[in-house]
Parts: sequence; structure tokens; C-alpha cells
Amino acid sequence: MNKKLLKQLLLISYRNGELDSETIAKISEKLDRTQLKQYIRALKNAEKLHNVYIETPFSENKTMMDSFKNIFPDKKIQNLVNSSLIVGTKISYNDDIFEVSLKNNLDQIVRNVVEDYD
Amino acid sequence: MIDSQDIIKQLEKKLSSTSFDAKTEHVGTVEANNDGVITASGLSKVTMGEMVVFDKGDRGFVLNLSEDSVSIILLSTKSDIKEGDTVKALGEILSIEVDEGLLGRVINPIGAPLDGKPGIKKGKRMPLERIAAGVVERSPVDTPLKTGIKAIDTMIPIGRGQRELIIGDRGLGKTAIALDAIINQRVTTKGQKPVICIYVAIGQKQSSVSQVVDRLKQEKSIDNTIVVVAGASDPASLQYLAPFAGTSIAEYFMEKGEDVLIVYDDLTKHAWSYRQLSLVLKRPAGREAYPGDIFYLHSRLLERSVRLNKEHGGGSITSLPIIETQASDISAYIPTNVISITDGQIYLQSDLFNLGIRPAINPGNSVSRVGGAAQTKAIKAVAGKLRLELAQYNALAAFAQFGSELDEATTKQLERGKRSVEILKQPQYSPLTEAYEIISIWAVTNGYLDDIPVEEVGRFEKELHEHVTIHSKKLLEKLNTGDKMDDETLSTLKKSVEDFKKGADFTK
Repeated sequence: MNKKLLKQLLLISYRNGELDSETIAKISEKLDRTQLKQYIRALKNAEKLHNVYIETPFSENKTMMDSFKNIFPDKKIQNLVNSSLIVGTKISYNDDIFEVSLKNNLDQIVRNVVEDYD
Repeated sequence: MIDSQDIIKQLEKKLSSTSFDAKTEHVGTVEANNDGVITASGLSKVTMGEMVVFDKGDRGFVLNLSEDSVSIILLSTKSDIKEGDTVKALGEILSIEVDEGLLGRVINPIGAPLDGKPGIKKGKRMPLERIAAGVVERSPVDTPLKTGIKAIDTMIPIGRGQRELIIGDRGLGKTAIALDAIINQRVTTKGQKPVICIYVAIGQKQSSVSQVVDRLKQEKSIDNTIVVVAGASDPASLQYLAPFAGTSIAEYFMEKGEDVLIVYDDLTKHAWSYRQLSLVLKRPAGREAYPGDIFYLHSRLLERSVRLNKEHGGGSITSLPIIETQASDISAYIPTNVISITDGQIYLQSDLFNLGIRPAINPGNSVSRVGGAAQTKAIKAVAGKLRLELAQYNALAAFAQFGSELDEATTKQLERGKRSVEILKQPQYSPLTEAYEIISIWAVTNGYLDDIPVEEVGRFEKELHEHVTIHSKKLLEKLNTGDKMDDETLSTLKKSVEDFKKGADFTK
């Protein structure tokens, strides 16, 4: 499957910014094993670019989500609860992860102390 | 005894100096693991040669970048990395921690100790891949690097900053020559800097490496030597990295103004490991299935051997790469490549080895392109005559095989040649100082051995050295300086040899 065709398939796989399960099912039926693999990989990559994952120690609140929507205007913001952060947030977009949290600060202190006394 | 208040104070101080930066990570996902080559998606900002770490702590480095995936070579033998695992870019290219504490140590190419002692933690990080010094930083090769081997120091001299290839079939003594050169560096010539040695073992049996290390310990040469090992059982990635790691260590010392000798044992196996990596990375195979950039691999490695000028510290890296040939074929792909890159070669021949000539150096095919400028005046004076006599002997010996009757001059020249060949024989692990080398060569080229039976030449030489050591210590000191031999030195040398001959009986 060439890249042009793969791009077209990806375009029609989305409806209103969301994956369209019916279209995807139809496309999948027509692809052989190798093509299907390529298609799934392309979908995964597209989803990575389409979604922003926000991890916080508490469940989502409107003010926070609005401010993230302003930062990432055309992306789908997904909130995940991660209590291990203690305080702070972790943002994952595509293959970048950005973390400002108390957990990270404590980890840095531990790392520094261990390095010093090693 | 530190009290609890002190501990708390120290921790508070530490805490105040800790910076709390936000954590940014660049990650990817493992797509496939084929023969130690990991294909990962994501990692879109990763650079060539960048280090990555997997979920379980395994490390690797990026060796191929394509549009939507990267190929990573593992630095460990573990292969429990599976599809879907996360891989994290470390933001740093492959490097090794170096400091003076590495001297006397045995390490692997990523700096992990193999001798059971603790690793280097707070050294300087030296990148494994680096651009070689440019033209303006370089200085011509003008200082000798003594190997202590008569045949090399006189006929194929090596200078500091030179790249001299040791080439020959297996079992002819290539490693022995390199080891002798390392052992000889334990003695520092007056007025010259000591030489730090690095021995890089690539794809060798662990038992062979162990023997080398033991020998270096026995000869008390280990203290100024670093051994970098990527054995036969190590992954190809480590074997590929080993000579680069050795060179990085050498560069650390060179930048401090030190002279370094590095032995790559051997580059044939290094080429094999790179071929293996390239084939699993699906790079196009060329001649003998080696990838197209195999020449560049060795040229960029050996270009890093350099003599820096005084403005840049005046340090140097002298390299002795070793190449193993098959059936004496020096025109194979890798041998011709490395011959063309280096500044000369020491060619070991199996015929000579079987005749008992050890080191089995073929003076006809061996050459040093820049070493002549680094030879001391003293040794240059005696070496020129020896080279000429040997060349004449080899030409005459070939003709003498066909005829039975020879004139007196030819017979004399043949007899002299036999003794010259005999005096160049030298047992392993017994490098000689410059003074002894000069005495031996001077004696043979001036006809003092003409009446000594060929089989007695070895004994003659040994006893002559002992005689001079006891009776002419000043002569030894003078000759060891390498200064031009003046009339007084020559007459003392002559008297010493004549005195020795008077008091000894070598006739059968």
C-alpha cells in the first residue's frame, strides 16, 4: 500500500474529529494482512497526533480542561487520573512527555542524594 | 563521628542546591525485535547514535533513522524486549566516562568494569564518535615510539602519532609484537614523555584476553595500560563500539598532553561485527557482503590517531591496528583498505616464521611511511647499512640457490646477511633498549660477527650486552640518548666490542 492511499484511508477514517468505527470496519475487510498492519500503525500514529493526554492526581475540572483546550486548540484532550503524581500534572502529546509534579521533584532529590553518596 | 545535626545540615544544603526542573521525555514504542535490532515508532526527534533506554533498563543506540521508525542496536545480550514496550531517548550520544582511574583496568566498550573493581563515576564523558583533529591542530611525526624490537626500530620505525598496521596470517605473532611494544613503554627514555597504552580486544576469546592481561601484569606493564574488551561472546554492537571506545579514552589522555599507544586487536573482526550489524539492519551489502561504508568506518577511526601541535597540548595517539589475513592474501578487501589508510605496515610472513625467524617480519613488504623522520640519529646511522645489507642478501640468496660456486665477495655478503638475519631474531617479551639495539646492529654491520658461527649469534649478542652493561655503563647511557654517535662514542663502542671478543670463545 502506498503512502498516498494510506493517507486517504486515514482521512476517511475520521468523522467530526473522531474515529468512525463503521468506516474502519469496512476498510479493514478489504485489506490483506500486511496492509492491515500498515493501516493499524498509521491509525495509532494519527491517534497520537490527535490526542493529548493530561494526567492529574484528581479527576478533571472544567477550568483546567478549558485552559488545556486553549493550549492545544485542535486536539482531543483526554484526562487520566494518576494519584502517584501527588501534586502536579503530566502531559503526553505524540512522543513527548512533559511532567511537573511533586513526585518528579522527590525523585530528583532521591537521585541527587544517591549519586552523591554512591 | 558525624552527629545527626550535621547529617541534617548536609541534607538541607543538598536540598537547597537541587534544581527542580520539569521532566521532559521523548519516547517511542517498540514495534519489532529482530536479532537484537529493535524497530521502534515515535522517537521523532532522536539523532543518529543517540542512546536510548528500554522499560527494563536495557540500553541501546540508534543506528538507522527512517521516516516513521528508528532502528536501535541493543548493547546487551538480553532479548526480552517485546512489542509495545516503551523506549526513552536519553538525549546524549554514546559516550564513555574517563579519568586517570582507568589506568590498570579492564573495561568493556561502555566503560563497565570487567575486573571486579568499582566503575568510574565522576570522570569526563568522552563521546565515542568524534571528528578527528584538523590540519591546523596537527604536527608532523618527529618523536620515536620505541617498540624494543630490533627489526622494527631499525627498519620500520614508528613515530608518535603514526598509524602502523600489523598484518599477517593467524599465529604469526601479530599480538606478540603489539604486546612487546606495550611492554617496552614501561621504561621511559630520558627526555621523552611516558606512553600510556590501550589494548582493545575485539571479538577475541576470553581466554586469549585473560592471557594478555596476565602477561601485562607479569611484565609490570598493566599500571600504564587500559584494556578494552568486547569478546567473541559479546554482542556485535559492543564489538563494533570497542575501537571507538578505546580511541575516546586515548583522546582524553592526548588532550592532557600525554602520548598514547593504542592497539586494535583486530580490525578484521571489527569489520565482521560491522558487517553483521549492517546485514541485520538490512543495509545494502557490497563486496564480500561488507556494507558500502566499511572503508569510512576504519578511516574515521584511524584518522583520530594524531600528533597534536604544541598549541594544542602536544599529545599524540599512535595506533597499531592488527589485520588477520587468510593464506597471506594482503590483496583482500579489508587488508587493502586498512593498508591504504595507515602510514605503513609490518608484514608477517608464515615462511619466515616456519624458518624460525621471529618476529617473522618481511622487510621487503614492510614499510613505515613517516617513521623515518622520527628515528633518532644514532639508530639511523646504523639502520641504513643494515637495511641495505639485508636487501643485498635477499637478492643474492635467491640467486645462490641455483649455483654452487660463488666468488669470495658474494660468499662474504651471504655470510654477513645470514648473521644480520640472525641478529634480528628476538624472543617474545624481551624488548631491548635503544643502546642494546644499536650495539647489536653496529656489531653485525661492521663485521664483528663475520667469524662467529650463525648458531652462536644469539649467545654472542646476549653476552655482548652483558659485557657492555658491566664494563661500559657510560656508553649505554650515551647511546640511550639517541644523539648522533661522535668519534669518541664510536671508538668506545669499538673498543668494548673488541675487548669482549678477545675474552670470549665462540668458535665451535
